[in-house]
Amino acid sequence: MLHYVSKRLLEMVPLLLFISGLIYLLLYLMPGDPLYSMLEDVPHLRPEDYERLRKLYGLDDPVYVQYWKWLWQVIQLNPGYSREYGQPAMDVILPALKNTLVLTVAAVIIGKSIAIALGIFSAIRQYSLWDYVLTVLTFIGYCIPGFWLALMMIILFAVKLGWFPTSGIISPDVVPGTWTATLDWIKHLILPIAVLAISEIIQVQRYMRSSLLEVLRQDYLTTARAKGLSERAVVGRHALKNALIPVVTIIAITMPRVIGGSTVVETVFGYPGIGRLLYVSIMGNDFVVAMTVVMLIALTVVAFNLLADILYGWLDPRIRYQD
Amino acid sequence: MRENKMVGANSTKLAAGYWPTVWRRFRQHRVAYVGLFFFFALILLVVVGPYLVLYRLDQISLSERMHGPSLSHWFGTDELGRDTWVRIMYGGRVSLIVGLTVGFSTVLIGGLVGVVAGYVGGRLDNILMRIVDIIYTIPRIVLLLVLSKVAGPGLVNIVIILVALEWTNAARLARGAVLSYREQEFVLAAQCLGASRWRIMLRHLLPNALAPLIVAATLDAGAAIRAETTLSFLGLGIQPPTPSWGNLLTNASTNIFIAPLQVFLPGLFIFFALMSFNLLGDALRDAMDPRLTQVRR
Repeated sequence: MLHYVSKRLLEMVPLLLFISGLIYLLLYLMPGDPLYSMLEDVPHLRPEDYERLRKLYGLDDPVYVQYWKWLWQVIQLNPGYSREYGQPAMDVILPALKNTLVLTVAAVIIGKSIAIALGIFSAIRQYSLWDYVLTVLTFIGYCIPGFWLALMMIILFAVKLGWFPTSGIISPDVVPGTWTATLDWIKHLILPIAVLAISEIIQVQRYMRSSLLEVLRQDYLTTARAKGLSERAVVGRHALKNALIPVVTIIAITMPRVIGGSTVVETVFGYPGIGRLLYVSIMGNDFVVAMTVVMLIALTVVAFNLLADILYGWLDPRIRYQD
Repeated sequence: MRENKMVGANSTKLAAGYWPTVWRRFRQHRVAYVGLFFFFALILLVVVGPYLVLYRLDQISLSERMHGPSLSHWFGTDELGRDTWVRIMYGGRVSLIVGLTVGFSTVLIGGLVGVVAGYVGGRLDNILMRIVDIIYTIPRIVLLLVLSKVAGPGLVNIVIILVALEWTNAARLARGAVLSYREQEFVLAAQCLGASRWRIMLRHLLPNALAPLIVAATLDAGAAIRAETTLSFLGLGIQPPTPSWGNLLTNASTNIFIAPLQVFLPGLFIFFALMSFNLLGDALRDAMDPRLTQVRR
């Protein structure tokens, strides 16, 4: 097992290097002069000053030299400065990461537990009216694009009913640090959390249902019933354990969303998280921030994929990894 | 398709031939009709619809700005007095063209790559599947944003980007099918008869991978429409004044307090399109699954 994990960890290195090189090249190819946003307010700029700055920032180097310099800095945990904000990239990213974590952790906990409960309910009442209704509802939900769902929630709960604010994270008129400010903050969170939680429910409910149905068909459950166990014990203790294994794997694979946030939902709600930062930095040519955010997301994806594989082998004794 | 019959000869349930059976099971599928109905209704709407309305796509009427639904403007007008119904129908052209072209091309390219990777194997297979892995590893939204920023907006660029990201699905399916068939006797027979590699791949293996590929094409078309509308919504896809369901939504959402109906409608049509492709995909999957003899529902 240890051998397997270390082998997988070693494989991650070239994969991440390749991804970083590919994304670096793509961001390098983006239209727009990197010096432009720095110099647009500077009058009397002579062409030789421009050339000197290009040299100073290493922008006249070929792309692979630039990449190599970037990589060397990142290995020393120094991703660089944001062009847009004139601050270290990490000072821009960390507050956004905090905001995203608040949103996504709440949405994942709420959404996934409802999804698992509904999935179990659907499976033990297969072909019942409720199972049918839930199946149709999750299918309809699956066909609704996220940004439209978010806009519909805004129309219903913010515009028509006026219960929640339409966007942002804090109202302009509240004093920070008071109870009203906390309440105001929670009010801003509810709609985006609801949209994200609904998409979690839609994705996981079907998995839970089909996974439990698969297990319920197996012989060992007939044995459990034959020895006189109640249906509750059969499903709750014997079936559920095995049915949850693939679900746990799916949850682990989808976990990077907790770090990466949702670009669409955060953009619609004007929520200052990682997903929106990714969008804003790519749109605004903020190279260092975009590159750091992308690598942060790629790292979590790769790490959680490995975690999912390890979890799967650990939870399911039928699976053993060969070295 | 001689080899299909040879495979079919082993299992009696395919006695009527594979494709007639699929067609029969597809027709028994109730959900398929809902999907087909929405599909043809949308096609009819975007192809014929714009000619049946009195307004042109970019006909501005400043005296009729932000009107609600009326007899002359069924779904109201936007902030320049342009008729929303006409713009939705034209926007549908863009979205459906993207969906259908991407669905078709991903399967063509991905299917070919998958068949070659599966049959040739070895180092080529390794490289191709590594590329697939990498495209899977990088989150879709990152690649969509970066690639569309690099390539710039426009219909052709969007189609190219979506094909570049979505051929992977079809490639995996085709490779899987080829791996399970390439050791079978009909391939050996073809090899003994001196058939060339390409002939074996295209005439003998590809038809056997066709069922999962057709399903993939349908589902990929839906995924492409979802991605195009998302990109256009974020301002990276189709640019106004050319309407697309995505940018109609962005435009309308700035006036969400005054005219919520304008936000509701384009999204409703995206929903219809996604629903029709997903229903068709599900129905085709059920109809083509050789393990099922009877279609459920």
